[in-house]
Amino acid sequence: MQLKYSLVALACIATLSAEDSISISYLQYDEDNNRVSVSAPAIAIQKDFGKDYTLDVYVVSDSVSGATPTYVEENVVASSGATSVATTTSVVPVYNQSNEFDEVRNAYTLNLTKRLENRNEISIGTTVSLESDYYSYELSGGYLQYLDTAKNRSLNYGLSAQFNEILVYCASSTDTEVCDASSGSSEAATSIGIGTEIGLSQILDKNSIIKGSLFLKYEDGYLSNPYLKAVKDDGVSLTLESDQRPDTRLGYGAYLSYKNAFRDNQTFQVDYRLYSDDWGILSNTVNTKYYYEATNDLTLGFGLRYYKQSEADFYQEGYFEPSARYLSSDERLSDFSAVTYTFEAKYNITDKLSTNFSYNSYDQSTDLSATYYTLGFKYKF
Amino acid sequence: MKKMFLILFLGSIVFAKTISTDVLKKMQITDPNKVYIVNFFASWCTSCKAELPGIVEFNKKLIKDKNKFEIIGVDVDEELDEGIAFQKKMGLNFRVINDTDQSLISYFDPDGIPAIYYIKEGKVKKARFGAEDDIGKVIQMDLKSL
Amino acid sequence: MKKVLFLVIPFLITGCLHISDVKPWEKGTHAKETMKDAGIDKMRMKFDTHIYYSKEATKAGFGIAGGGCGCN
Repeated sequence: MQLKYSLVALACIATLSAEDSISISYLQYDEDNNRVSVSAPAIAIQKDFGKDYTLDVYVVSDSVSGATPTYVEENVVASSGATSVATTTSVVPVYNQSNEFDEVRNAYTLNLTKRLENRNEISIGTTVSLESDYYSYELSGGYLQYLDTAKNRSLNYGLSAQFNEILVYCASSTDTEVCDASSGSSEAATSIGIGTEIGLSQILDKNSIIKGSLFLKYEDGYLSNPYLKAVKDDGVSLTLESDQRPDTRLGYGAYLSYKNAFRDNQTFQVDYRLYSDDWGILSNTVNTKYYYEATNDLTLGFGLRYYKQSEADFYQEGYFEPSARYLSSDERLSDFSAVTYTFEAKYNITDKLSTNFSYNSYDQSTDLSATYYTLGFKYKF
Repeated sequence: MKKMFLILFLGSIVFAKTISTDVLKKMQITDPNKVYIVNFFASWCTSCKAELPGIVEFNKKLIKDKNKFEIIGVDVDEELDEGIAFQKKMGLNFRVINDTDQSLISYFDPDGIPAIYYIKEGKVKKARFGAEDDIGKVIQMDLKSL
Repeated sequence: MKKVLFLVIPFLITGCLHISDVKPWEKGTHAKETMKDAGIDKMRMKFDTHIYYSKEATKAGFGIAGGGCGCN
């Protein structure tokens, strides 16, 4: 026989989300051939205010260094500022040390979660990202709604709006989209993004949980890459043009994840994401993780991620027709696959202090491959 | 909206139920004149962790009335070692029952943890689920209302 | 139509699975870091997301909707 509670069963079941904590972490990312290196220290603070509010703060500073592409005629060096190269041979981007760049991006995120009487959660957040030639501001909101008394099933809605401003270097006065027609000076281009997501989460049993979600993102404005060029060939000469992409982009997809603690000290996670957009990109991502709690204080993790995408409709590796409206030879819009291997470890130094380390190897089927390490500490208070 | 409040209100009026002798025995609830404040918690439950220091503080005040009131903790951790380490860390100053097979909490069947049950004369007089910001004050109010 | 069907699949799957009634005190495993989306290091996941966002063409689906386990 079970005894149900008596007299007054308060409808209020309030919980705290987590312990207060401060985390610091450092990322070192290096691409092969020294193309791009990133050093990024980050700090995250999580603080509860009473039982109903949690504040999350995240600050990261990326220092990116590397080489920008210089467009060269085969065997003949041309400067990146050149607008036209008269040649019948090939023009290819190369990355060399003479054209190095160093940039710093600082991003600040604040997120506030409020728990309601019925334990559903509302969250609002904002992220500001600042670079010398790029500014981005995002507002987001979410609502977590439990669908049953035992809190085993929940719906999650999310909405975000983003505003971006990019200072575009004006390499060609004929490029009216990004250049002031009269003065030929650089101009700030803008874009907006709106994203939404709805997810369903279901605890299957004591040891497993499944989540599914649908997402949508719409972008409008300057969506090209101001650092990249594409080459047009009119049969007589080759012309360097700015990377030019459509002004709108609609992406959507689905996400599914499953987690199972199949032993007391072993957990398996797998997730799958399908993404498609009106630029012609279709991608599939499968991500798996395995955690092994070797001792009470040491947890090891192994991850394997496989990613594959199709190319954008307007992407071309070679030269574009003079009449081409959109042009991009950005490899990130090409047809490629990528594999990431991850090893990570977490060690509890004391009850309150823990350290994390990870080694990650990322290999694309393009010529891009990179390794990155993270090292961090977390202090609970 | 009104309808929802009405449902919540009606849902909150439940008749007191008598606890079985076996369960009372297991919890060593023997004094019919005492109000037993039974707190269910687990080491992995963050809200419980946040609330327990408040209960420890309140118990210090309660000691002068130890003939009238007693706090009993029920740790529902399945791993005994983890439970005991947690209790030590929290510096609990009241009696704790280790409900490793979770039979006691299954019997009470709360809608969430932490859960507090007020037991008098072998009956549950009141129950409260979820953490409270000032748990000492809340228990004090609950005891007055019994 | 195919696309719509494909997008609805996650919800169909979650709706058809065998689900047992898990009580609030039985969620010790769900409260573990190893059962969270971010795993044992939330900061690393943020770095991962940033890297994939800048190196791949997929621009959405990085998981703003986390979902709850009611296990705190």
